[in-house]
Amino acid sequence: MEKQITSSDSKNVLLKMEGICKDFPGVKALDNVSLTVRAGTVHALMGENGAGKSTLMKCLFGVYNKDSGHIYLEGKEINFKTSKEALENGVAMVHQELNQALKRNVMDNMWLGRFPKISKWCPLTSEKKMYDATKEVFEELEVNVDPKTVMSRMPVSQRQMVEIAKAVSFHSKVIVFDEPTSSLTEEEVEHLFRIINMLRDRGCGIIYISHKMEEILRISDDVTIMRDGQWVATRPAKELTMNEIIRLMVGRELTNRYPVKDNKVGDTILQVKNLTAQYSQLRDVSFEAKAGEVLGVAGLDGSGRTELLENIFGIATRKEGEIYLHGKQVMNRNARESLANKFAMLTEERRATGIFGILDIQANTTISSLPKYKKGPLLNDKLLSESTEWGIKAMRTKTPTQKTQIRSLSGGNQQKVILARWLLTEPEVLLLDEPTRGIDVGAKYEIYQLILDLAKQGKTVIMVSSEMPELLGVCDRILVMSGGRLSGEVSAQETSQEEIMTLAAKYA
Amino acid sequence: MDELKQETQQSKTPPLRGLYSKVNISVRTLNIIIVVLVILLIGCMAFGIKKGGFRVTFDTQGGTVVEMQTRMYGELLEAPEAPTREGFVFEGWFRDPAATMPWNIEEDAVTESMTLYAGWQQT
Amino acid sequence: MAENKLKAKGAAFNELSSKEKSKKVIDLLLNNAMYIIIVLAVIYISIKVPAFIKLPSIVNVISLTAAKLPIALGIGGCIVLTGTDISAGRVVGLTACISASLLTTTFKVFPNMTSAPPIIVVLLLVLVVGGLVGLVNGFSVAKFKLHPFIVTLSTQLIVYGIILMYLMNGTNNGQTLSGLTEGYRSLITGTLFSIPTATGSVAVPKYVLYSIILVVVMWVIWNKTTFGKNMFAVGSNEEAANVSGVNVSKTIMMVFVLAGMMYAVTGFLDGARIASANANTGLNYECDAIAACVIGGVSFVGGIGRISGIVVGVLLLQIIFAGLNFLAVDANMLYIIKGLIILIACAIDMRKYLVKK
Repeated sequence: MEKQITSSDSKNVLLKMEGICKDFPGVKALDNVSLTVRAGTVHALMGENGAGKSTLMKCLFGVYNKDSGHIYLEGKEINFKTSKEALENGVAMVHQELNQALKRNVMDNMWLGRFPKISKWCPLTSEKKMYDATKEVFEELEVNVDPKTVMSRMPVSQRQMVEIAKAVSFHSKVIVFDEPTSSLTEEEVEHLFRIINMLRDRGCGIIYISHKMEEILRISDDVTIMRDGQWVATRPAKELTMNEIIRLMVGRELTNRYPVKDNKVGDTILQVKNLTAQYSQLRDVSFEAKAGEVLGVAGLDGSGRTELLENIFGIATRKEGEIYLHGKQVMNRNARESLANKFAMLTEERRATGIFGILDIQANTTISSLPKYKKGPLLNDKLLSESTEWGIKAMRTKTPTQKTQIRSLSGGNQQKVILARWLLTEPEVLLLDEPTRGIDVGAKYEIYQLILDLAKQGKTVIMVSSEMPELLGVCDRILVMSGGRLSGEVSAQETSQEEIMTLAAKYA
Repeated sequence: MDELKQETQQSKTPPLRGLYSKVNISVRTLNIIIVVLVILLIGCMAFGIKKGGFRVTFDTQGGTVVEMQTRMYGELLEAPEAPTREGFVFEGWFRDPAATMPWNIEEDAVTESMTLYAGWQQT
Repeated sequence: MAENKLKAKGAAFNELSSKEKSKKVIDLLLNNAMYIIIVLAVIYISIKVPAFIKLPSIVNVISLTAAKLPIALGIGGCIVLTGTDISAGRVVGLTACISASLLTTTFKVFPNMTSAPPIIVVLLLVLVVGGLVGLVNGFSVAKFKLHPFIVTLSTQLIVYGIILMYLMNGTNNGQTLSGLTEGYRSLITGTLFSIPTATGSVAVPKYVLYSIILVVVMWVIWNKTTFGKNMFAVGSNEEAANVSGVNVSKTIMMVFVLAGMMYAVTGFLDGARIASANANTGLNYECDAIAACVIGGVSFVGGIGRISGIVVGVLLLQIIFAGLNFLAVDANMLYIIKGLIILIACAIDMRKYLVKK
C-alpha cells in the first residue's frame, strides 16, 4: 500500500473519509477505505466496475449506513441520513443517470423541495424569485438556458448543467460527479471542464468518478484508485501515467479462484452477423461461437454487452443482422421463439427479470419447460417435482424444500435455480449476463464449475461479465465491446487485462 | 436525490410489484391504521345493531293513519288497529299497492324493511 | 405432523424474549384481525339470535356462498395478475338479462319468438358474451398496458349501456324480466337433496352443486395446467415471465376471458335464482367478490392466491352479512361496513408483505 499525501496538503482538507467499512450479505463491499479531498482540487476516484466507488459515495450520502469509519467535513464529523441532508450541508452529487422531473421546467427542478416563498407571511411560491435566482446561477456558470424551458425539450448535456447549477445553488462545498461525460460531445465536455475548473478555483472540492483516463489525467489533481472494495493508492495526477493507473486498478494476480479448464472446443455452431439494435447503440456486431466453448464478452458499463445478448435472445428489437445456428438461420423474434430454437438467457438483473420472488423453487425451476410435464392436458406433479429435484441436485442448490419461496434463498442459490430452469429447456446456446453478480466468493466458484461443466457437455456458453479476472479464468475467447461496437477479440490464454482495458476504451 | 435512495432500497429487497409497489408507509403507522379501522368497523356494527330492526311502514292508501313498527329478523308484527276509510271496507294488509299479495299478520315473519299496503273493498 | 409443527412452533416461541413475544402476538393478532372480528361477530350473533345457527340459516348461507362463488373465482385470477375487474357485476347483469329474456314464457324482449331455445344453447351464448367482454378487458390490459381499473371501468359503463338498451328491446320497455321457464328454474333452483328437520325439511338448491363443480374446475386450471402456472408467474414478475418464454399477453387475455365466463355463469345462475332480471341485477357484486378474494389471501402483491382461500373468503363474507341481516342492521349501514371490511382486508394484506421486507 502506498500513500503519498504530503503534510502541507492536509491543512486545507475539506472532506475526509476514514476507515469506511461496509458489508453486504456475503460480500465485503468496502474494506477500510479512506479518501481525503482538499479544498480547491479535483480528486479523481477510479476503479473497475464493482471496486466500491459508488458504494463509497452512497455511504457518504447516507443511502447506505456504513458499518464503521468516520466522515469529517471541514473537521467536523458528519453522518448524513439522507441525500437531502447531505445537500443542505454542502455535499452534492451530479448523477450519471439524471433523476429529474422531465415534464417540469428548469427552475422547478432547481428549486424542487425548497420553493422560495413570496414573503414570510405569504406561503405562495414566488415564480419571480425562482426565475431570478436561477438566472443568476446560470449566468455565473455561463449556461445559456431559459429557466422556463421544459426539461424534456433539452439535450442531456443541458439537463446535466441544470443538475450542476442546482448543486451550485446550494453553495455546495463538495460536489461529486459520477461519470458526467458519458453522454456528452467533445464540445460539451470542454464546457463541463470549464465549469469544474471554475468551481475548483472557488475552493470547492470535486470528486470526479470516471473510466476515461485521458479526462482524469487532464482535469484532476489527485487520483485515488480502488480495487475490490479496498483503497489501493492516492497519488498526484502529475505523477501518474495511463499504464500506471491500469496496473493499479487491475493489480491482482490470478490465483486458483477458478476451476481447471478442461472443456474441449468443437466446431462452430453459432454465427452472428452484423447485429444492429433498433433502440440501443449496439451496431454491426459479428462473431462466431463454437460448441463446448465459453465465450466471454468484456466491456465497460453501457458498452452494449447486455444489449448484445438481449438482441440475440430477442427480448430487444433488432434492426438488422442474422443469427445462424448449425448453419440454419434462426429468427429469435421473442423469448418463446429463442427458447424453441434452443437458446437460453440468464439476465443481468436477477431480481427484476430473473426470479419470481414469491413463488416457490418448483415454480421457478419449471416455468420455462412446463409443456414437458404434461400428461394429457394436465401437468403431472410427479414429473414436476422430479425435474425440480434434479435441478436442485445438479446445481447443488441449498434449499430446505422445493416449496421454499425463492426470495428466502441467497443470491448464489437463486442464480442456481435460474440456471436449472434454463438447463431444463435443454439449450445449446446459453447466454449468461453477469452470472456471478452479487454472489459471494464460494458460490462464484461453484457457478464457474457449472459453466465449465456445461461447456464440457458440448454447449456453447456466452458470458458477459464486468469482472475481467473472471473472464480470463473461465473463458476460451473474449469479445471486447466498446461504445456499442465490437472492438476486439482476444484469446483468454494469451491476453492480459491491460489489453482488454485498452480495447474497451477504444470507442468509448 | 431521494429517488436514488428508493432505487437502492428496491435493489436491496426483492421487488414487490403489484398495487403495493409504491406503498410508502411504515409498519408502525399501518398497525395504527388497522387498529383504528377495526375499531371503526366494530363501532359501525354496534351502532347498526343498536339502531337495528326492520322498519315496517303501513300505507293505508287514503285511510286513517297507522303507526310504523320496528321488528327484528323473524319476528311477527303486532296487529295494528284496522284503519277506516269513508265508503270502503278494510280487507287486510298486502305487500303491493294493488292488493294482490296478502300479508298474514299472525303468521308472516319480518325479514326486511318494507311497506304494507291496506286493501279496500268499495261498499 | 401438523401437531409436531405446532409443537415446534410453540417451543420456538417460548425461547423468544418477552419483547419479541409481544411483537409476535401483535403480529398474529393484526394479520388475522379480519378473521377474529368475523368469528367474534358470529359468536355474538348466535347468542343474540339462536336461529342464526339453526339449519335453515346455515343452508341459506351456503346457498348464498354458492351463488357468489363463480364471480369471485373469476376476479381472483385478475387479482393474481395484480389487476382487478370492476366490470364483473355488470357482466353478471347482462348475462342474467340475456338468460331471462330467452328462457321465458312471455318473450317481451323478442316478441317474435314463440318457444324458448334449449337451455344449453343459452348457456353457451352467455359464456360467449362474458368471454367477449373479458377479451376486450384482457386485450386492453395486455396490449395497451392500461391499468385494469381504467379498462374495466370503461367496459363496465359500456356493458351497462348495453343492458339498458337490451331491456328497451321489443315490448319490454325497460321492465324487469320474469316469467322464466320451468325447465330453467328447476335446473338451477331445483332441490339437490333435502335435510329433514323437526319442523319440516330444508332443501339444498342444485346451484350449490354447480358451484362445487366450478371450484374443482378452477382448482385444476390454477394448479394443474400450464396456463395456471404461467398466470402465477406473470402475476409475480411479468418481465421475468417474458424472459422465461411465457407468452405474457396471451396469459393475461386468457385470465380475463376466463373471468368473463365465470361472470356469465354467475349471471346465468342468478337469473333463475332470483327468478327475475333487470338493469340492477349484479350491481356491486364485484365489490363483494374483490373483498372475498382479499380476505381469502389473494394478494394485490401479485402471484399469490389459492382457490381454497377464495372459497373461505366468500363464505366468511356471506356469514357476516347473513348475521348482520339477522340483527336487522340497516341496509345503508351495511354499505359502510362492507367498505370498511375491504379497506381493512387490503391494509392487512399490505402489512403482511411490508413486514417481510
